[in-house]
Amino acid sequence: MELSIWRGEWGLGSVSIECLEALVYSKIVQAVQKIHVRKYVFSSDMSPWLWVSSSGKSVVGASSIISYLKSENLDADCNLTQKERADILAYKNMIKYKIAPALKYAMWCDERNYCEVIRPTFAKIYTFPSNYSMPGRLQRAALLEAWGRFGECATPNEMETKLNRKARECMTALSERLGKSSYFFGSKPTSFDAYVFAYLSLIVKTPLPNASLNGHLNTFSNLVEFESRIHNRFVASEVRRRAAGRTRPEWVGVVLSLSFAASVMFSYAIVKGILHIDFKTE
Amino acid sequence: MGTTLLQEAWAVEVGSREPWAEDSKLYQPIEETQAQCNEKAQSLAVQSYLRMCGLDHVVEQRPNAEFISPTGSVPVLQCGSFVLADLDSIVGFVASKGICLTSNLSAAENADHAAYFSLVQTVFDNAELYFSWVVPNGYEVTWKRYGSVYPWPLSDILPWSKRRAVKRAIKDWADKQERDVLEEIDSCLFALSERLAEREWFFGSKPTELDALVFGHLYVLAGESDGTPGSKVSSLIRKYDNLMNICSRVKNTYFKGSLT
Repeated sequence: MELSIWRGEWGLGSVSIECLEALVYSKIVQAVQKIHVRKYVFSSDMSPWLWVSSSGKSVVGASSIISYLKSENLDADCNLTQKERADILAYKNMIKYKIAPALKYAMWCDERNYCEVIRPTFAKIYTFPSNYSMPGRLQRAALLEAWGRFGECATPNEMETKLNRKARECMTALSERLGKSSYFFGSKPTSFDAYVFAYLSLIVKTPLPNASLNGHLNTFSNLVEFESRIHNRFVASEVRRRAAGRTRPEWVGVVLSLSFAASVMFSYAIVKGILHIDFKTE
Repeated sequence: MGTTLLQEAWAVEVGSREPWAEDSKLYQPIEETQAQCNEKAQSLAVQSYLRMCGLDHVVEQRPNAEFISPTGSVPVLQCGSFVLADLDSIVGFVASKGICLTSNLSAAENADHAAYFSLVQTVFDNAELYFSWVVPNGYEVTWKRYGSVYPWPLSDILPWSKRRAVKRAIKDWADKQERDVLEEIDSCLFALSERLAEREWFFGSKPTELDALVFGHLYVLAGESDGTPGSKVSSLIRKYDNLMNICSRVKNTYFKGSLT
């Protein structure tokens, strides 16, 4: 099985929450042989793809990938009781409606964060020519969502305060639930750990100038430790491998630019008639 | 809108010094002819919460309850000189007076309580909005009820603009198919039923906000008559005996015949 995900920045496994979740889950169950980082990115769809080579089938989206892997007997949640499964549903829902909107707002709607960090990074990730249009389109979608929730006359400051307050409530609950243990449910990582990690990792690692959400998270030391524990165990090797593979020797750039300049001069000389080449057949 | 945060903070700060006003009023839309499913559920949840805390209040029905509210949501609580909307802020306000139903829970239980509270609030609230505003045959009923208190051109325009606003606010739900929504409700009910098991209340030996909220939503949804889109939900709820039991328990303990 091969997993295709969005590229990571800032030391993250991937900039997309869904990709990060699928990456960590597939590492937990040790299912995926190869991980591809998508080279050419055009669409706003940030979901990961799983390519199953044995059946020639592809699965799209983190939740479908995880349920597919579970159906293939790669289930990290098999030791959970029904009550724990119910708890997981409740906590997932709380994260989805309390942390996710706050994170989306901090990344895309906060003007300073968007201009200084998010837009340049995403412009780098997207392939030409979508690098000009797609970051703006994602921002508009996030703004529409925020306005839909709070009404169009809400001030940015007020929206941020409300969202951060809810996110903080959610972090308090998560921190209390985690307590001193290594993982949320039992002694082994589950799909819920992958889900929480994806959000926390983005909050911790994105270097936003207006880092109020990160500030809230930093007050819960066990959550920060949880993030780095999962990162070191499942994601760090992936990030290192990619960093090592990506560096291009310096001379390649020099040779490329020199040869480009030489060929331009050469063709100019031919077109202007300074240089004349005759091909004679004798 | 810009002042609601300040109002809330002020109510919690200043309100904590004053006792509960005996003549507190709870404003809600007219239940028989105007209120939507989610408004009825919210109002019932707040009423049962206040009754659980033993706080006196009078329920008043006003056609413009939505516009009395500082946030646009109902019911609205007026306690002395403070005006608050939403169960969340009312719980915070009551807690500032030293009355808290969750004070004897452990930290881990409190965390679980918050998680289930948010689950019930988001799933049922969005599902009720979905069935009354998004589904076409639900909207047929809704626009008549919502517009019933306004004179003619307004009675057509306001439901239309409200529908647009609701669809924008619950965007990820509005795009869903009815089957997916029912599935989501069923998994939420299943989780609640697992959590409750055979106990009397969700957390500890006494009722909490969660019990009030679950009662408010389930009682209203289970009471939907046949033929309406909500009737599919009520047949889902009836499958879970322990959830039906907790509803009748809250009804018998706190409402003693005042609910039909």
